[in-house]
Amino acid sequence: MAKLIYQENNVQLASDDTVLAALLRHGVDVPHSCKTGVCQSCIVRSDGKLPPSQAQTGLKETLAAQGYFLACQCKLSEVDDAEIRVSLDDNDALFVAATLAAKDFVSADVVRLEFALESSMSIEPGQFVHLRRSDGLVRSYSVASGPGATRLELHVGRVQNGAMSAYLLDELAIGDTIDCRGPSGGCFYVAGRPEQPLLLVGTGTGLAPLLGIVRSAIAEGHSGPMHLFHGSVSATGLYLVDELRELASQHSNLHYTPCVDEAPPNVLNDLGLTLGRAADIALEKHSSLKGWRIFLCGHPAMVRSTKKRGFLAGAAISDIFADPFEVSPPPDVVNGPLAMA
Amino acid sequence: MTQSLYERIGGEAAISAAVDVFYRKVLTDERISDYFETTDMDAQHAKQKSFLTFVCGGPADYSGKAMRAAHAPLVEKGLSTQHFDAVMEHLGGSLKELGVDDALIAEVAAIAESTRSDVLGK
Repeated sequence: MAKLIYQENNVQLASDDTVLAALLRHGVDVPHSCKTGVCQSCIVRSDGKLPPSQAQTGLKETLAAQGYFLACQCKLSEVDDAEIRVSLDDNDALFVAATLAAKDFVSADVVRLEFALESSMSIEPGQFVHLRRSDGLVRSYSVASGPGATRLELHVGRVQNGAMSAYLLDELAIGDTIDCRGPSGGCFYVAGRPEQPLLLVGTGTGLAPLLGIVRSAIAEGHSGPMHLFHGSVSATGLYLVDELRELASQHSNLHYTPCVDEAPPNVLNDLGLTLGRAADIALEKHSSLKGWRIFLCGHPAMVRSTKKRGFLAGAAISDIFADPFEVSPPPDVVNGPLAMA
Repeated sequence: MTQSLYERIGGEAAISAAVDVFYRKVLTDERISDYFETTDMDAQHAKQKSFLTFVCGGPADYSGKAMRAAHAPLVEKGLSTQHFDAVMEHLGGSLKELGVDDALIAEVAAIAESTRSDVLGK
């Protein structure tokens, strides 16, 4: 097993240690969240040899080439060299300052934030960025702003006991800055095949990346039909309903269906909502998806099951793009699933 | 020089076309779909692709030992000869649907058949 060196000190190792586990035990305050290689909070830099490639999965090539890797995905038993030296000192260079320029509660528990970035970032709408609070807490959010937008638009929903969501909803004010790094993720619109029908299904703030993707498709001149289904448990969880109707009225190939699991008949009628789960409604209306491109964002169980149903309905696996929003465990839970929100 | 089975079938492009058809068939066949249940469809899809590449004589890293180990948990859950037969049926059906010659399908089936004892742990 390779030795782990941090600030010229040998870090004590246990068998099967990851770099993250060893550093944390050594008392190094490494930001971390999901421990599965998705949130990229625990990025560190190797000062010498390149780390194993699986510890760089998902990182941009430029970062990988500079020796950055994910501490949680690097097992010391898999490092080929005799030792690996890591540092956190260069991490500030990864982040740019994002200044909050607009804050708009689009529903009781969802806020739309627009940031001005200190320097520009090459982002495909639908990808996600990582926000870092001054105390090091990192969470990831999907990008709703379209191509060429001057501001970075994110939608943040309140997560029960969520430290970052509470901060962003209740504390962060216009003019405040937060560190932003990005982007990550492969759920976005790629130009080509403009006549292809698109099916977009999202729950909760899964609308954010879908909105980014729709804006991208429109900007690229997508001519095929685009069917957007947004779902929520109740009517209070839906947001941007009027804006999306307005967008659909401007683009005849965009069709928007807001769905709720439950609502009294008068609310359904007044707001023009469809009763049922967004994925169920979408697949009932479009039962044959051969040749379609599908985008799924939001609740992980919805994303997983709809991916399968979409494939069985005829879509090619390579045409299904998914972004499951895993919620980070609260900080006192040591072993949880993924980290996003 | 004679072409390999893999080349005659159409190489990587043909396998890519076949894998969605084949995977969809096994997922919708109630006799066997439980054995293909997964939380990670992309990984399962990739496995089916390497299986198809192997049985079509293509470059795939498939050893009998690995095959045996990978299927052992399924054998424990009851994987047996009729399930293997169902997969064989879908393999042939998928290739037929894509217009592959019967003679070539027979060659593919023979390679797939050679994995039976390892898959079923016999």
